[in-house]
Amino acid sequence: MSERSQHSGKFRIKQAIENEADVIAIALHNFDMFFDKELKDRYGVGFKVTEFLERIKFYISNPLVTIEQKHICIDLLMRYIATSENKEMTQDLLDGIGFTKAALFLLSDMRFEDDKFSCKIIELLISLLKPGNRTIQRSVFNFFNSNSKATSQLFHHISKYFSLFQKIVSDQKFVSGVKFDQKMKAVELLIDLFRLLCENHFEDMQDYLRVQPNLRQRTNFLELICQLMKQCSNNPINKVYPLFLRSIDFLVEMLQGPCVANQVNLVELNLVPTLTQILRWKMSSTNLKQKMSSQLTITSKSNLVKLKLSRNLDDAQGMSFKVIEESLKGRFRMQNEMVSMLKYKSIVLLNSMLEMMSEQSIVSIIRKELHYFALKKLIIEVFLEFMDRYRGKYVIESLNHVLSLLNLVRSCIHGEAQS
Amino acid sequence: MEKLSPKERARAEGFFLETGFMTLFIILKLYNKDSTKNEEVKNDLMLIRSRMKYYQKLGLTNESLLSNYKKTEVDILHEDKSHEHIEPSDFLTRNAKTIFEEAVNFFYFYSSKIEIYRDNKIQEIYFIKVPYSEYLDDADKEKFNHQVDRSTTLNKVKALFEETDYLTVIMKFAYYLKTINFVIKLLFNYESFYTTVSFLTVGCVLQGGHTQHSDNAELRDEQS
Repeated sequence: MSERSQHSGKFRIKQAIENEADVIAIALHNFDMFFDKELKDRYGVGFKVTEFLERIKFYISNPLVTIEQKHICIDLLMRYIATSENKEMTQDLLDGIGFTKAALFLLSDMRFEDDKFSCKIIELLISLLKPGNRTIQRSVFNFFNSNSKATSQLFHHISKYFSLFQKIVSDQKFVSGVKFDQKMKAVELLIDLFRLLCENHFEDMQDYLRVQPNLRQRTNFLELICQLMKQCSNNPINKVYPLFLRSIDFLVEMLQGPCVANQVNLVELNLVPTLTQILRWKMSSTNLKQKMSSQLTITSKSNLVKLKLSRNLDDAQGMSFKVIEESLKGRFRMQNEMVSMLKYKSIVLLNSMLEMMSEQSIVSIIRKELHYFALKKLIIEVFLEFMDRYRGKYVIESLNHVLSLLNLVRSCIHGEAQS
Repeated sequence: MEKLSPKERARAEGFFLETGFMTLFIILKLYNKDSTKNEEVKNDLMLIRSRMKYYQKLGLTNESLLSNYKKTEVDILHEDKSHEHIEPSDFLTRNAKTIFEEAVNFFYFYSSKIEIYRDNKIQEIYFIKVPYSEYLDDADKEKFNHQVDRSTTLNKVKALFEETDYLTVIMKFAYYLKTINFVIKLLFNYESFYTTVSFLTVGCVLQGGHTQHSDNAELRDEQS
């Protein structure tokens, strides 16, 4: 069997399994309507969906059940939420049964030993939380506060996982491997999870993720993400783009309100120099080949260091020419559009840091670290791009956020009209 | 992921203008011309604050400036080695002031601010003005102002969302009418003037007609 036909076969099987899970999920939603009466009349038995779901919960929590079986159950639960007509109600129902707590206990016990299964549990938590279910957020917060041992274990392993990932993200050899993709997926999902926990300005969680009063060993998630961003900004390649986006979105969510303590903490964690570095990334690629070839013909290490690969690449002196050449290549591997989006997100984050900020000491630190020349250059760059594309005409199509809003409004109105 | 799809690329690069606006907002929040000692920043802030009343098509009408930008785009984005020692290119030296002036005039003209009182302090909130918003009629604004449901925040936002599409269409329509043709532009820009003139004209004609009629009646009475 050829590789191509194998791949398409696997895809069809996966689709069939997903469809099967969908069918079961939809049947569960409509059980009372279609099957309940028949069951009673024909077999004289009753069936309650909530009892069935409770059994699944015990099944998932049972250490004797295999990981594969647990995978299948979690898939079914996720499809159950996805196929629901009223997602919030389904999420609340599952939370009431105890799935949130069970998933968190399971994640804590897993200790991230199995990347795939850990990702699956996090995906379940994300589908329970999306797009910001306040009941689930409160439920998770109460879990963190009342189960110190499990929470402490969970946060400790998350912190360890992030530290390990930071070490491998700067190593070019690891980045191109398959294991890296799995690890990066886990990190992305964790960042998504914590972002959803703070969604809609959940102040208690915003404070809790910065400092945990009930734990002996405290983890500052702002610090974890800032360090991760710093590492990634030293090697900006296409692969880390989704990670960057999620990190910035998480930080913006942590500042919503605004949360002054988090704003101050981010400044103290030296996030501003990292953002300044991002704002200075070059977007032009027209002369890239010329520039790269001129740089790559340089043979002496001292000349390479002078090219300013990165301010934070302290061990440049010790690296061989080939490794520096590789990292130089990697540096330019980010697409222009990705750079453009990351600059936009960085500016949004900076605006969030300055929102309602009245502490002059913090403002002066930001002013000092965010070089005025970088901002001036960015304005000129953006304006010339605007002139190039729209010839100075200010039209609705030039503002993507307005277009997105209009589409959202139209879809909402259209949806309401249909219903 | 290695590369973005064409749709993702279009979306990713679509926010570049918002980047420009928000960069200006950061400058306005961070720098104050009274407190800053940097001369360059002071001069730039004065440029920003001296807003042009009517933003027209730019002083950058010479296409050569744009084509120069394309040739030397690496040049203009020449990386400075430190924040004190800047090495601008020739292109930047010649044109930076003009480009920056035009840029901030554009971004400042199409943005605005409100002040809110919160935590015993007055806070400034900057926002982007939607295109064509200056062409929105006062009558439409008042109509929305009177009709909107203000009972809850959710209702306010919902009402705004529902009106967005309609307001966008009428703003765009007003823009086309007022800019398409000189005569139509005159007609729509001085609508109230023409209304007054036509009212007075009709009034005079009617008055003249009434006077004529009463004169004719008097003449007939005298003759009889």
